[in-house]
Amino acid sequence: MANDTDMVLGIDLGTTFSAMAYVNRYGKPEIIPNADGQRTTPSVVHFYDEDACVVGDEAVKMVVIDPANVIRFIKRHMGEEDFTLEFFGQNYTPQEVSALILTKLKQDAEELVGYEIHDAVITVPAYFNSAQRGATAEAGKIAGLNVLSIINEPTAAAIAHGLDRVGEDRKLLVLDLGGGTFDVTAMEIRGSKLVTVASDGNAELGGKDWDDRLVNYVADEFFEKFSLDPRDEAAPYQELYERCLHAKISLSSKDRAVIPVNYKGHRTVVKVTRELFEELTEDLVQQCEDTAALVIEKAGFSWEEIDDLLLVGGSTRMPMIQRALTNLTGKQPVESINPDEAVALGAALAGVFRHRPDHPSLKPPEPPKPRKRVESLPPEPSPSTPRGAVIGMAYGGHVAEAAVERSRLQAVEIQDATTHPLGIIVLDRERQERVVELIPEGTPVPHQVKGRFAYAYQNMTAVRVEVTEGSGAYRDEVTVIGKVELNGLPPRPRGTPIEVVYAYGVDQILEVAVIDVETGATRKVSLRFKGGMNHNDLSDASDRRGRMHVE
Amino acid sequence: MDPRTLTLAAEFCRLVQVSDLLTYLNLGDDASPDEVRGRLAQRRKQMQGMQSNPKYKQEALFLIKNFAKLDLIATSPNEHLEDMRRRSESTHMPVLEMTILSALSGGSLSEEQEDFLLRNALELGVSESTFREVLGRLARAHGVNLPGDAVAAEDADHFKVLGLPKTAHRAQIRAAYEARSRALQQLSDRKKVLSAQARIDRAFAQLMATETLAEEDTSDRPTGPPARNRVRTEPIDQAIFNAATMPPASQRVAGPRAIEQLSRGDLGVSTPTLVVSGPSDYSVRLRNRVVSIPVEVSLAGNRDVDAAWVHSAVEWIEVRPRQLNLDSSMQVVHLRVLPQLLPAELNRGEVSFHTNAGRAASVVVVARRSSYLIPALVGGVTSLIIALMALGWFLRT
Repeated sequence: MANDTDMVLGIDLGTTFSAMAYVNRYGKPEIIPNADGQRTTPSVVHFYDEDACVVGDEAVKMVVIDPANVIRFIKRHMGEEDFTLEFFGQNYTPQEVSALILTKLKQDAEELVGYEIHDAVITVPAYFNSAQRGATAEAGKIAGLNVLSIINEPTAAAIAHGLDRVGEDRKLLVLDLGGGTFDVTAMEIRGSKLVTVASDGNAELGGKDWDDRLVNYVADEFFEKFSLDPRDEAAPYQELYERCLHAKISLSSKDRAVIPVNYKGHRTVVKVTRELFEELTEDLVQQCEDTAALVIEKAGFSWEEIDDLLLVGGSTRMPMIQRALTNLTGKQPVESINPDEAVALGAALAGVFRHRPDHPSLKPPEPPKPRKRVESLPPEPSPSTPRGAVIGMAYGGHVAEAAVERSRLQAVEIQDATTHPLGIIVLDRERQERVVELIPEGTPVPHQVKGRFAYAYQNMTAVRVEVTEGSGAYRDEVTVIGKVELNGLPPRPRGTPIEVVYAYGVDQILEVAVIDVETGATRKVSLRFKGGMNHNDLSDASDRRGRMHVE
Repeated sequence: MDPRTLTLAAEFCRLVQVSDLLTYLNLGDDASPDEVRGRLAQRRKQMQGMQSNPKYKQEALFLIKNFAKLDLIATSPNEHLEDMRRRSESTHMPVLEMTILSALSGGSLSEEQEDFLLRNALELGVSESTFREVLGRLARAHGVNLPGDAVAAEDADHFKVLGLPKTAHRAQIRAAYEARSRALQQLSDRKKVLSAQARIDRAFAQLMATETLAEEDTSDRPTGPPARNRVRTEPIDQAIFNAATMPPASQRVAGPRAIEQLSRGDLGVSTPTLVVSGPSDYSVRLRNRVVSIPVEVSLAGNRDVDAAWVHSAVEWIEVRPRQLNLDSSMQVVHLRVLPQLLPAELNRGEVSFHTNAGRAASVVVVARRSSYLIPALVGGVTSLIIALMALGWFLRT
């Protein structure tokens, strides 16, 4: 499509901050600032009425005043069953709350560009399981977006970084430590292909945990002095949290910080040094190191083979993290990437590569128009440094039109891998339940596998397939993410073959087909995860979101 | 109420370290369901703001995630309170049982002892009715008479002791009494036989003295003195043996009473898929031979059951077979008590029956190790006497 009205919005929906970007017609990915002019928006929602809410900085201001109606860190609960929050008599699932954040982003983007936006690519941590991914896709749907893909955050960051390395073969290690999640991914750039080799992480480790350590320390100090705990009440706790958060941020550049605490008329000031903070959070850093080592091992790389070390996510600004990784890898992390924006930029690029083959920047450049030499024109970059132009495109530097016409965006092919093994529950010879793994961890996606099984009992007229996620041999070691039933069959004798096909798509959303070999009866299901909303609930939620006034 | 919901409430109370939900909400035991629900909703709202608070995170997340079920509990708070009381009692049960057993080991219980035990129990938080129940059960199991026993005997108990229905008439009562007396004479332990005999004597005497016994139906009998009806009582059942002695376990017969164990389990389904026939408690006494207790298990033809197995919670009970055959509906599982693995004199072990839907039933085995001392002494004394007699005979000739 030749015009920009078919923009694909790349959205980084983070635990603490969200950002969005698009790729302009020159192939340059750009962050879209929100209505307040900020390049990142806090993922915080404040409900102030039954059908009105505020998202972003204004909501953060309200957290101390009306803590019960402000929701933060909702990403930590995406994909969780039975988790509903109540505001002004209405119940909200995590997907619905995330949808409000996405709505705010969409609205602000539309205001800026002047037309409606429909398509989007949303990122998730690499270590998100299918329930969490499904919930994210649902959130996009409720927000009125057509979610084209769900891609992994480290992949997006690598795309944003790896653009100028296209053509070489390189090995990358991407470490993404966000507000609430942690991922380590080992990737390879092979020609124009970006391949995920191995991945691991913790969907519940993030900057918030560092904050909590500081909060606990300060609260304990206060308690020792006054036998009162500021964590016991919502508003004083939120105030304490905000102060600790600021202290943590300043400790990344300064050696010491002071945290004033004021609770029930008692005041004190707690001094924290960077050394103390590092001591309090030593084990968290250790976890990060261990996970990185595990991923390197899984990938079959060695530390020396890593060409680039990418740090993504605001929490990687902490000196202790940078130091730990430099010690491990022997390399300095890549500096030129803004850890807060890389993921959104990469998501926008991925959206174009996968879903906009007609994007103007992917076309071969027009032949340069004859032009009068004017002194004021900036000098054309020499042919020997074509990379200079591309770097400019990727990182938002000022680029002369002439240089843009000379080069073009090169599409990058992305290959992800599964992060959790998928299996099926079967009965073995002794009629005991067992879990058989059909798609192991680290399999490149998309992937399809066919498993052959047999009917366990005589005269069965229905069969039930339970899809599991996670590694383990027994039912209680894995999570059942869905069930497919094939019924209405003629009575089958024991031992008749039955086939189960697992098709894992690029979005890492599973399609299961159960086929009775003899009759050919088939039942296909696109797996709806546990905790997902059914069709009616989704449309209700969409309507409700539509009625909500989001600022 | 679904036992799983009650368990969830108990888990929550344990998490926040309160005795029950009403205390958590700062309400008295007499609060109405509406009050409880209102307070609970308020608390949930409050906790929404505390989700990220490291000190209250677990509590907040539990409350939010399980709010629907806790709300259900709030609609009938009395059930929850009763359940919590029972749970706290059961945690103290082993201690209570130990104290009672040590008091009963003397062979008899005086009124002061009983009072002392009652005070102990109340201090532990066990209610009086539960205490009496436990005391009665343990006293019967070990053949000890409670101080109140001789006096408190209802007519129904008398009938039960002789194994008769309430509609029995005099001739039947007499016949049963004589049959039981004869049966008792077969047993070996004199002390227990005497106390059991005393019991049936008492029952017989009381029944005979009762005016309102059923009348014999003589309509179809020819004239002449009434024949002695051979009364077919139930096979020698628990009542007599609990009062008397415990025969060797190899002679123990399990009556065909099917017991619904579902209230003990946490299945929450209305149709039983696995039923254990027979008593839920077994008592065995053993020396050095393995004792095998047969337990009948039946599987109803429920298609949801894909696997069923038996699990022994203690190492001194071996279960054979461990997996249940799903094709047959009635099977016998042997619980083998291994004397060499018994850790103490008095041991209590549980054996549970599971299906893939959850725990279905459980059975308790109390095993008592007999000492070698008395038989050894008796044997020694006897052989000494024989030796002396032989010597005497020798010397005389």
